[in-house]
Amino acid sequence: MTIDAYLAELERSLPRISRRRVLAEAQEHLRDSAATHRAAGLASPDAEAAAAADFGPVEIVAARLAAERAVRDTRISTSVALGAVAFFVFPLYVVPENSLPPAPWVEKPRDIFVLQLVSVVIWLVAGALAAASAAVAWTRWSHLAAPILLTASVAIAGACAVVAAIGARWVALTPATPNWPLAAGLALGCLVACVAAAGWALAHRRLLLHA
Amino acid sequence: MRDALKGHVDLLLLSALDEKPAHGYALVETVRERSDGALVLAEGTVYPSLYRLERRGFVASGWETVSGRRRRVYRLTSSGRRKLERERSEWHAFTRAMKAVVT
Repeated sequence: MTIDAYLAELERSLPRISRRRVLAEAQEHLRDSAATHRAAGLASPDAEAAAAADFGPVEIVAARLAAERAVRDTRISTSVALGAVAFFVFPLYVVPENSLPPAPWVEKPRDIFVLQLVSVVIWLVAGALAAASAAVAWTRWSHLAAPILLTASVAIAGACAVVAAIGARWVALTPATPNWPLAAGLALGCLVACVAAAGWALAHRRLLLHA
Repeated sequence: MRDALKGHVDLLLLSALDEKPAHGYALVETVRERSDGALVLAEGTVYPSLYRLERRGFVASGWETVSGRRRRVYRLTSSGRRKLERERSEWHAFTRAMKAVVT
């Protein structure tokens, strides 16, 4: 097997996240190893094959590398999720006054009040789960962080969905204003947040496999 | 012999780094040379061990240009040096005890 073929197989076997550093280090290592084998008298193709054999079977190397990188990726993901809940979901979505057109009413309609209460409760759950996953990711029980984070991402998506309902109701009760583009942007934002949470959960299913 | 290395890879890597900072392949070579070829690390699995040591703060790494090539060079941190001293003491105590029983 040539070095390029080995690296291509390793690339296919590794999770997309943090692949670059691993492949760059493996490439340098294999080049050094092949050079040592050539210096010992092997022809170039044999030297590359020997270097690949010394590095080890791709599936074993990839599994161990992925498992180790998964811990680091979990820490990054949990911190990002916590930041998203604190600085994005809460001010922009859970508090609709921050992003929707000015309210035309003096007293908030009861259905909007109830929906907002529900969104705050879901946000609190999402926040608690995100904080728990971020804390657990730095302990020896880091393998528990991924399932907690997946639950948090579902809660984040849930909070966004409830706020989308608030936004729709809010805009329906608000006379046409120049803030329509803002309301449309908010609805689109909710959709993007839900898709992002679902996409994140799908992309990180490997973390669960390594748990 | 390779199976016997399980559980000792961290100590071998930290010991190899004690002399000077090095990249992954140089560490494998250092272990092989110091042991006269008796200890051969499974090369591809050295990196997960290095990443784990880095994550725990025992080694630090960075890209450097060595002999015209860009390489990830690892070095011991002060916490890694303390860990090495602890593990060395434990290893010496273990080998003394084993020797007393086996020989």
